[in-house]
Amino acid sequence: MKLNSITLGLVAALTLSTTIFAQADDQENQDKYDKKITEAWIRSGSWELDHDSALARAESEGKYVLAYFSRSYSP
Amino acid sequence: MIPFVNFTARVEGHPSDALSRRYEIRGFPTLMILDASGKKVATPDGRDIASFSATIASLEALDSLRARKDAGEVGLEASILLARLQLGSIDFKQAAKQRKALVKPKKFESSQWEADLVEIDALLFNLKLADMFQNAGRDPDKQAELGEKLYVMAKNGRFASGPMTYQYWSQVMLVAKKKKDVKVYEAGYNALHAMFKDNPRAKKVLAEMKAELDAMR
Repeated sequence: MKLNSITLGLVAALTLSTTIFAQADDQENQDKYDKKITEAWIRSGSWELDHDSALARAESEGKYVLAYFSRSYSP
Repeated sequence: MIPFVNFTARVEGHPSDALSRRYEIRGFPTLMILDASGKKVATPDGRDIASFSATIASLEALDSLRARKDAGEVGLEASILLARLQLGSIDFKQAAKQRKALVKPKKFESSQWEADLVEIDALLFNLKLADMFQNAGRDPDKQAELGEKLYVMAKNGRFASGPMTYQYWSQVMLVAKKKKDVKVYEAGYNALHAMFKDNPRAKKVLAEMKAELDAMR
């Protein structure tokens, strides 16, 4: 019974710490994303950041969309 | 063109991450051209201005072909399929099905149809090769099996072209070297030499292949 309580406690602690680390990672990556989307080339090139807005513009202007997929969480 | 950028954030529940999954993005950066409904219509071959210009020109050519077909012109199906293959906007299964269904209209006097079929078949073969490589993945047994199949294709004169050339011949030449098949190995060396001789980064690899060929003779 005591061993089970200790095991359960350890599992709970591990789960909690994993959740805390994942949330910390998420926050760090969100900060990187927020910084990335403010880079000068995006503004100066009028790059759309919203998919639906890009498609709506393509529809109204009769154009195609040049979609560039990259990442912000690492260089 | 409307420029759109999506950054995968790697944040739980982030809409950008969901969008990357939706478009099956496997590496960064990835470029594609979408129509207004969000459907992928083209994938530029390279990341340079020349590749983009070529892709845009192909898209405009495809639009023009479709407009002509809608206006009632006949005999354009082969040209349309060829344009879609060149744009990378059709997968192997769909393209093979459409190729099979191609029927030259009666009394259609144009050599363009036959010329388009030759190009379609070459591009279809490349798509088939790409499928075969993807299915083999990194499994050494499947790769070995793939190598044997490609070697047989090479012996029968069926060669890859364009972007599949290097992958194709790399596998074929491995098998040819094991089987001491100088003829096939040399065919591979010639193909790769023709493609990469002006690329300074390929100099060493080509020299090694040439040395290997000389040793086999």
